[in-house]
Amino acid sequence: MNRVALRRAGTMGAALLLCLAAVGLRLGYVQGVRSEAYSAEGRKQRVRNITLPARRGAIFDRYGGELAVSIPARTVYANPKLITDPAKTARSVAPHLQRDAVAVEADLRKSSSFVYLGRRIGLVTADKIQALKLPGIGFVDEPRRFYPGDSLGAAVVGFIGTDQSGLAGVEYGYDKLLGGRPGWRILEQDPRGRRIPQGTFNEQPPVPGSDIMLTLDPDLQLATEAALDRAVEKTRANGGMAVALDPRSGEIFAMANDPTFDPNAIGRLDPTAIKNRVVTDAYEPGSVNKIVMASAALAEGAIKPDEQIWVPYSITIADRTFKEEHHGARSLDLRGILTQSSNLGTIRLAQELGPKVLDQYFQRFGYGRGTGLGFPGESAGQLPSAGRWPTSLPTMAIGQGLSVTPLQIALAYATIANDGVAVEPRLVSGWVDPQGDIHRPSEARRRRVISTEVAGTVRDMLNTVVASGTGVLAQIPGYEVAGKTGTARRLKEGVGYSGHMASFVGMFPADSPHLVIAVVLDNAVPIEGGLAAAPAFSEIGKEAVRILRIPPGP
Amino acid sequence: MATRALPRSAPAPRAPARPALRVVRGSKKVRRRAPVVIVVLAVVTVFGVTGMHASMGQDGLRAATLEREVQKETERLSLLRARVAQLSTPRRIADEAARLGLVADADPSFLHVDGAKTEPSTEQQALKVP
Repeated sequence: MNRVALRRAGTMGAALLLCLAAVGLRLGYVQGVRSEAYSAEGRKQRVRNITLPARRGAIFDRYGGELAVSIPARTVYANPKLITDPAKTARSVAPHLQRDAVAVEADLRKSSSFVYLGRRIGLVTADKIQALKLPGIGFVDEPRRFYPGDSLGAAVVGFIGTDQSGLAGVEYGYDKLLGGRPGWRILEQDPRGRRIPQGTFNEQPPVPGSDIMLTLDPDLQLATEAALDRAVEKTRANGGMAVALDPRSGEIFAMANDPTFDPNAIGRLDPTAIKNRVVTDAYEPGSVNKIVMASAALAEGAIKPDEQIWVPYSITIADRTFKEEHHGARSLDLRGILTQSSNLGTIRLAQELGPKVLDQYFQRFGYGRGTGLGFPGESAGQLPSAGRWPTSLPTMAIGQGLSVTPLQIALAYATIANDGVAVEPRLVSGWVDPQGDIHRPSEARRRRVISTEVAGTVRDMLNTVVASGTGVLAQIPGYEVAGKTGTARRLKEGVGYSGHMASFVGMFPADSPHLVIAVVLDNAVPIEGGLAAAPAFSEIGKEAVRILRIPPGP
Repeated sequence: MATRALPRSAPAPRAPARPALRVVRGSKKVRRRAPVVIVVLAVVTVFGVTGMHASMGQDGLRAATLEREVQKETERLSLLRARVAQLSTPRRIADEAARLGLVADADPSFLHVDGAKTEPSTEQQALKVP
């Protein structure tokens, strides 16, 4: 080998050595110095940490019918930075999403790297979009809350927000129980998103939420909503509320509100319609409140059932004169006071009892405090002392100057219906945990408010109110109904009064009541409870005897 | 001081002479087969491991496919349940019944059993007026 060849070989060797050294150095740098960083980068690309959403529990009626369920759905999103032709992509996607192509294109032209194109769309639609294989379009599973009955019991059931947490009604009140606990999954994926079989895989499965069973009867709920809707329309009222409950167990069969809403379309709902006004809105009850006076007067011996008292045409207390609306001065017994809804007779009884006794009886009947139902936003009403002002006693006696919710007044009547024993209301009859075990709430609290005899006497008098008094339009053919009408001044937002609240609260069969129904109409025409609300009571009652199979009595 | 003579130990027996170590060469047949066996073992091991990995990969993909199928069927079940719930709501049944010309029984009748009476529970009767 000559010297030139040797030199060339040497040069080549040196160059190769240099290259090898460079590779070695780089290898050392990558594997040694930057090894942790590169491994982390690699892990970040391969390993995915996925949150597994928990299945939200369903809400059932008393017969196991679904009122709220979660159904699978997908959310379509886009990474505008990966979309090469926004106009073409928008034209392809928009019809499936039922969106305007121009609006979709505007979304796709945004400078961010993530935009929602459609939230919680149906799986079939999502599959159609996925089949288009458009670059930059992605999908994520996001279950959708579905209310099969649409507006049926909407204000009671409530609804959830985009983050799947309850915002109103039972959905809000029992959010923790319904929501469950999300899980997680850590796994290695290839660039196409497929799991690498021998790669890292760790999983903590989500704990599904519990299913809740309500006491609502779907048929009676529908009948109550329909009757209330018709009454509101017929009387051109601003709205209405109705509740039907079992006085013996406190179970609520129906709670209706008008106006109502469809929880499947919360984006378009009227914010004033979402409240369950049966428990959230307190109103001055008017004459339906007279049962408290009658019970107190009988229990305290202020009047005997057949005893007549002199009822003047007017009474002046402090600077205010109270007048009898449609009658002159006369003698009335307690039955007559209730049947004719005599304000002056009631005021005379209240004066006999005094503010201290009156306060006690209002409290015993549950005024001014929560019912124990635990419904979100429940109002306790307002119960000032009857001795606060000189005019407090007479005004409170006739159901003004204090406020109650329709549920509170229905429970006061339920106490009369249940032989003087008040029972806590109940809306949730139990829940089923993810293991399938059924849990029941603790026994409803009961307390005696008045004696069985006093309750029976008041019930008998209320029967006369419906048989021949102001409540004749509340009659249910074949049944003895006991109830009372109420026509009260309507509290205005702020101070003062504007319009009227018409109400009827009753029970049947009068001898042994199975059901108590309260109907309240906001600013109805005619203003009288006996004319506006009593027919709705009758309508609901006729449906209830059929649905609940209530026998007419002994 | 008196000393006691130690007993004289018996002379140790002489170990038998060990035969000289020598290399024992295997048979020519075994020597010839060894590389072949090693190569075969290596090939079998490599193919075995590769096959096992492939099989695991295949099973993994099958499991993933099955998981997807289960998810799809679960989704389908949820959707069908929701559909059943929607079709069995009282409003829809009432509408459908009305469409078919059915009307609600306006005058239900009840059978009375002589002497039957509902009494309040003793627990309730025991509650005293405050």
